[in-house]
Amino acid sequence: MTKPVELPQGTLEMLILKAVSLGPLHGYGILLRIQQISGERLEILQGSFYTAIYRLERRGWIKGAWGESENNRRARFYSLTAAGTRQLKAETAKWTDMAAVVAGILGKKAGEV
Amino acid sequence: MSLLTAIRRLWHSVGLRGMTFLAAIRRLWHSMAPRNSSDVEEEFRSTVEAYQEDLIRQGLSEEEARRKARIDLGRPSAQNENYRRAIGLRLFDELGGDIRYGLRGLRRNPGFAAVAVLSLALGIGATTAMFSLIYAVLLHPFPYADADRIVNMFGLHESAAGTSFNWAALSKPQLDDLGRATPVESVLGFNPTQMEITGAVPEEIAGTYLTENAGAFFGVRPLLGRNIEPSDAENGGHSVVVLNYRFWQRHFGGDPQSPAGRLGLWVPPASAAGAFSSPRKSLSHCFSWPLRAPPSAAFLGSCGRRLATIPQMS
Repeated sequence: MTKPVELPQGTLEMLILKAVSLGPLHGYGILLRIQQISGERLEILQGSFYTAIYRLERRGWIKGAWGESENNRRARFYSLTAAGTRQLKAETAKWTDMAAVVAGILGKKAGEV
Repeated sequence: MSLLTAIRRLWHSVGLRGMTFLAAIRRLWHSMAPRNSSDVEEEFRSTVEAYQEDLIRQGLSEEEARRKARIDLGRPSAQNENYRRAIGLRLFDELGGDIRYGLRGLRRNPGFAAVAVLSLALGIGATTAMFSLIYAVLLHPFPYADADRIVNMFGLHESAAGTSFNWAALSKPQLDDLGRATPVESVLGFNPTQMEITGAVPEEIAGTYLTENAGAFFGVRPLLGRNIEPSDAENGGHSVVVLNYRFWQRHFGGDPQSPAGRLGLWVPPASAAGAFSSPRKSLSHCFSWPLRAPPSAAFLGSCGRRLATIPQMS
């Protein structure tokens, strides 16, 4: 297994929005999905995880509803709201921008500047 | 915008119109914390259980799995606290907790509570009383018309500079000059003095001589009779007095019949012209009548507040 990656602050919420955008998920499912997509390289602190979910729901970006999980357990499924979709789009654009700028700077070699 | 309007606007904007008060409160409460604790707890518990099952599938014993899940995730019963913290209600919770703690403490220690309440009551009471006094004595605006445009001017003796007797009263010509100055609308002269009431029980009282324009100057309507009028100064002046409310109450029992002719004074006997309407509306603690002395003798002094001439600025 490759070295685990630590999440920069504030990015967890973005990842949750992304995970939920692929289809309604319950809390634990979101966690698994993020870990799965990341190739098991993300260590997500459980405590901060639910805090992020609560905050996203509070802001109206995701919406929770009770339903049945795959193993017949009652679980709360989250789905993206319209506002959440917009937010995800904006955050993604921002992140891509920022990452490109940072990568551009870090990628410079002597003599290129 | 008044506070009430603001509240009403807020009320409408949250969509509370047409609800009973209780329903509105419930709805506000709900919008603050949309999920209750059992809801949050149940969700968290289902996560813990799912995680536990995964751990068992990975080969842990049930006991080990339960233990690890508990360590990794925390107690479901504590989750509501995390929820409320996440949505920003922690401050309210802590405040509520502090208040409850305080009340419990007060209930456990009734003696201490009584002392605390009593000190607060005394403190607030004393402050209020003090302020009422200061307001009435120092801050309360004079009840005269355009009180904010009345200024008090007096001359200073250079020779007596630095002493408390350095003010100088104005002579009648000086007063008249002052009255002709453009920024001065009208000018009032007064001379406070001590005098004595004659009768069964002689009494020393404080009085003030006023120039004949006093009634118009102060713009205070007497409760009974009339104000001092310019005609009172004709032919060397008449003996007319305006009583203040307290004096009228004390000496005449507030008799609505004019007490004219019933007041004997040691200084030229005066007949009362009027009484002012209320203690607050009375002219200081003095009672007064027109300045009747010949102009050359007229000088103007200071009352308790160091008032000398009071020109009214236009």
